[in-house]
Amino acid sequence: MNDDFLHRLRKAPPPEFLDGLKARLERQSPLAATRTRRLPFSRGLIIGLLLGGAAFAVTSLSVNRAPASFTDFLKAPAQLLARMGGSSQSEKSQQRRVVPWGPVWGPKHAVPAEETPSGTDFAAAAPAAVTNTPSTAATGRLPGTERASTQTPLPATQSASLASRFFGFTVVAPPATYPHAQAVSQHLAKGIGGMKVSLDTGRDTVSRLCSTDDKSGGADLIELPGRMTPSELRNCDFIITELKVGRQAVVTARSKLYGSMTLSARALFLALARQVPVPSDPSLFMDNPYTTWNQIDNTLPDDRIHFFGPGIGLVQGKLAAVLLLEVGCNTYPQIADLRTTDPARYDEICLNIRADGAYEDGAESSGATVERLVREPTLLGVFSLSEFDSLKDRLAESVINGVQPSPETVAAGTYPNSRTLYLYTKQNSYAPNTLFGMIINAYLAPVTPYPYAPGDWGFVPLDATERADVEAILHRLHPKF
Amino acid sequence: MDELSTGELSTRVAWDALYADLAPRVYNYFRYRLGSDTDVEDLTSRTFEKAWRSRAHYRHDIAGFSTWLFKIAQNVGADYRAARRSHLPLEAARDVAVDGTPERHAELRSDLARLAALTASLPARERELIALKYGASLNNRLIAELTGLSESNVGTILHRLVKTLRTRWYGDVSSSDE
Repeated sequence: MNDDFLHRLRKAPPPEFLDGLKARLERQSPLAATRTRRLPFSRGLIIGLLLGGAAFAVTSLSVNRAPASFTDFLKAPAQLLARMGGSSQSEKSQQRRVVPWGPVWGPKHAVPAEETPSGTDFAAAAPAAVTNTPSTAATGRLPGTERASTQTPLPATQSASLASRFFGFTVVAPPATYPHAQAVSQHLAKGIGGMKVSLDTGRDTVSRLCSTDDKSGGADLIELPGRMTPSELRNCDFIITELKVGRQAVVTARSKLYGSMTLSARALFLALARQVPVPSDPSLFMDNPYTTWNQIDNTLPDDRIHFFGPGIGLVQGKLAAVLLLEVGCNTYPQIADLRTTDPARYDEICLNIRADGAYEDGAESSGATVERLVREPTLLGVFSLSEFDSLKDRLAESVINGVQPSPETVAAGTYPNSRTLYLYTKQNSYAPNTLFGMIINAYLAPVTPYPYAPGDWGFVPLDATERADVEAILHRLHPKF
Repeated sequence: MDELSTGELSTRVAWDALYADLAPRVYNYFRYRLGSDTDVEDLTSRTFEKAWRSRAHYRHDIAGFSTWLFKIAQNVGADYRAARRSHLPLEAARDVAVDGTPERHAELRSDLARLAALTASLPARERELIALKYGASLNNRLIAELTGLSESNVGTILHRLVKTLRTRWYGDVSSSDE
């Protein structure tokens, strides 16, 4: 549709007008004014009618003598009010225990374990999609309950961060998922202005969502490259919802002329990492000395170690480094321990690809890469799963730890060079046409709407079944009204 | 690097970004809707002032911020048109060619006035769609929310409208060239 003539009519407003208006607005009242939440008229009317009805009934009963169920009857209005959001503190506490909406956990200030309702099984409450529920949650008993009685439940309204109260959603992502979150936000920004992605360079993404003491602006949604740990869940101040949004996967492959390689995740790490453990003492490290595969493992061929993939300074290259190196890196227990004891050192060892020529940065198109793979028998190309899928008639994929890369093995979580992305949110209601709904829908798009965004390279959307499971979780949240 | 160290700063940055994004869109929405630059600054100011005063009542869980703001803009525009209808109907743009004043003639020559002239005979709903799509640069989904039409209906109507306008637009150009 040629509509340029209509687009051309736009013009930028005079800067002095924009500046003047902005200054005038900001003079009227401070920016960070506290939001005063007003009861919607319809809800107020219903509550009024209920209270009036209850008062009438009580009066009527007191005149006509109370039946045996009188006490229960008195509780009914309060229970109704609680369901409508007007509950008392103790009733809110009760709601926290039951966690009625999805595979959700969180409040460290929950309830004493003995008070947990017998029918409350969080794993059972969660849809089947969330099968690898952390054991602490799967028990149906909230961890950390021994200190529960000393703490006070939070008002539900505290779940919105300062920014979200004013404008919309703040999505916080650690470096590992930031490019992807940014790709989603850039796509959305064209239509709506309410999603802001904030990069969290520290390791406190979870606290941005979970802590009431957070001083950095809070988060409404966080995107993580894996599930929250049991201790993170235990220490979360809020009820949160977990949503699986997709996966990231990379594939190494040679030309079909030369057949596939069978590698272990550790061999891949030793072939690609900038620093590797000294074989005689794995607590020490050396610059990667390996030049042929059989130096790493004598069952492997005496072929040159030679990779060709996205630039290691690019978003795609960084993702490839994480997915190709980390799983093999973690096969060394002493390195895996560094993740908690010395995260910077861990990153240095586990996320850095060698720069001695064994890994070549390539900017060619997929077709040119394939042609190069035909010419060089020992060359392994690095592809996203979708790139590989489109070229698989000409490529032979490396089998890692005995698993072939495919949408099925990636979905099952058995393919080592992949990981699952999760969203966590404090949002307790959902409708597709809200900002939250639009953001979630963008994350769950069956086919990526932003295929050329670097942050989307390697992303594998959920399949239809998994997406239906996530939608089931969302629809168990309070509906919009 | 996380440039947002406090919640207040976060709000400030969000407000700055939103204002920078939305103010030009609201401004152009009014230009397209009215077919002139007259009063556009005033209406844009009124929209933002209303939104600013009511911001405590904005609920992001019910509508996106853009939707909410453009709903306010639509109301501001409707009030404005209702107040001016008796003495300056938009349809006056159609007669602008026979107005002999140099100012009027210059206005006609401007593309915006030409658009106003071409859309003057269209129903209000169609003019609103053009203003939301091309003035405010909203996507069909948001336009559907704002107008109560379905998303596919918005797309269909716009497609038809653009086709008609393009024919008239370039027909107009060729006839004026002759």
